[in-house]
Amino acid sequence: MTDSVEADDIAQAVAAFLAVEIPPLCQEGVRANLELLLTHARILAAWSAPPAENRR
Amino acid sequence: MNWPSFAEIAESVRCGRVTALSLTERALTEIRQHDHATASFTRVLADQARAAAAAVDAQAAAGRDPGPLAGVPFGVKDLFDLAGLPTTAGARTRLTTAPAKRDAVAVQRLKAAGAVLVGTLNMDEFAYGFATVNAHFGTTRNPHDRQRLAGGSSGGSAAAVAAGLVPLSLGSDTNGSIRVPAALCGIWGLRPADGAISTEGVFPLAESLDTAGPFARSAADLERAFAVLAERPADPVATSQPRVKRLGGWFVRNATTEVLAALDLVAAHLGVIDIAPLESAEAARSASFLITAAEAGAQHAASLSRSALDYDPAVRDRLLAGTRLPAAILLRAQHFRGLYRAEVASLWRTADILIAPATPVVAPLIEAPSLMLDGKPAPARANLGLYTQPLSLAGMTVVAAPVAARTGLPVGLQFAAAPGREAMLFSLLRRLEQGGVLATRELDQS
Repeated sequence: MTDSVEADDIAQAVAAFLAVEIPPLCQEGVRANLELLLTHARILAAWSAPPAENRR
Repeated sequence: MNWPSFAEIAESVRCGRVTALSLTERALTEIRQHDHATASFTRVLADQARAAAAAVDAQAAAGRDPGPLAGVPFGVKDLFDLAGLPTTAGARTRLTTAPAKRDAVAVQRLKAAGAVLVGTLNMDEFAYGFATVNAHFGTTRNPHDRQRLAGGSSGGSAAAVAAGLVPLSLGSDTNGSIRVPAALCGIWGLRPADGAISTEGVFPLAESLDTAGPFARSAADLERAFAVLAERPADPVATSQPRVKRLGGWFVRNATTEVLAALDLVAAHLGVIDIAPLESAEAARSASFLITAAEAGAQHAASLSRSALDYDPAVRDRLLAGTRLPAAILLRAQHFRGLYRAEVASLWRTADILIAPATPVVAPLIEAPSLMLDGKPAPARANLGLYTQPLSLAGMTVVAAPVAARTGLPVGLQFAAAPGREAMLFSLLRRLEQGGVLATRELDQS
């Protein structure tokens, strides 16, 4: 990642993301991987900081 | 074959007892005769290697010091830029990309120290996996049992050193891609602290987590390679009696009895009783998973939009999923990362070195690449980094070291230290190696 991102770079990045289609062949695999990511997002959402005394 | 230490090789080359060219020929012969069994090399650069070795010998003959790694043959994971060659990153589609203009910085440093590059090494496509099962370049097999995984994603780098084809290799470690294969192959691997070794010229997986580091066959060799790659000796401030703790909780949950026995053996030798709490380890692993998915997806978005079907299917689907990860989830993971680093920093107030298993299991079978997590089977490709990912997210220095044993499959442990405390870490590792507790697993020749 560069420190100074040009407007054109952002436009290209956005265009690239918008252009990414999920080919039919991949849909099942992508869904399985998205479900895995969702599992990790849930673990993270359930996290709470350890008590302060454990961090001394 | 057994290689002398780097110090012995460099001294022998410097004073003319051995030539770098003869060592290079030995490595090329080993690769030619034995690599069909492990499939660790993807390209052998014989002519280039011979020319480089001759240049090292010419320096020595002229009375100049050819460097601390003079004559040491090495290979690199196929994601380090090499001048004049395309950087495949394990992808067939990249074989036709423009050749790199210069070597990656890490490669430059090894060459400047007199090491001789002999070839490139297999990996999971784009370094996204823990298996080195590559749809284009084949599966790298574990030299200790060819029916088993070498681990990944730097599996070729680990297998080549474990098989004795070369004594030194380079890999990359984002979530454990050096430590996992080092552990499964019974050798030493270093995941450096963030920024300690340049990743310039290394094809990225997830740039905020990527590191580059060496594999070797002893603690002393690993330390010497680190000094060259980091362009500094390990921090000279070494504590003679470091405070060592073992990580509990997440880091022993799901570990098999043989892995736990190896951990207990080393802990007993060190007299380690205290268990360090790292309560956020599970969340840290999840944050690593999410950050990697998002960054890797972003890295490949343009390419996926053009040619998704040219990717290795197992990698492609993970990358495509990463492009769909909502920003809010990534932001949460990034926010957590800052808090987690503070939690880890607090551990260093009462401990100098933390130890934990590198993997929960020994090398899984290639035909059944799974492990049991909380009583359920889970794919090895995504889950062998169970214990490495939480340490990566904290940015610490971690060495995967092989526990000495004569039977069974190799087991590796992680030894972690705060950034900048490498001398203390290597001092402890050398001591354990000298005490016969840690040792590269030799191949069973029977």
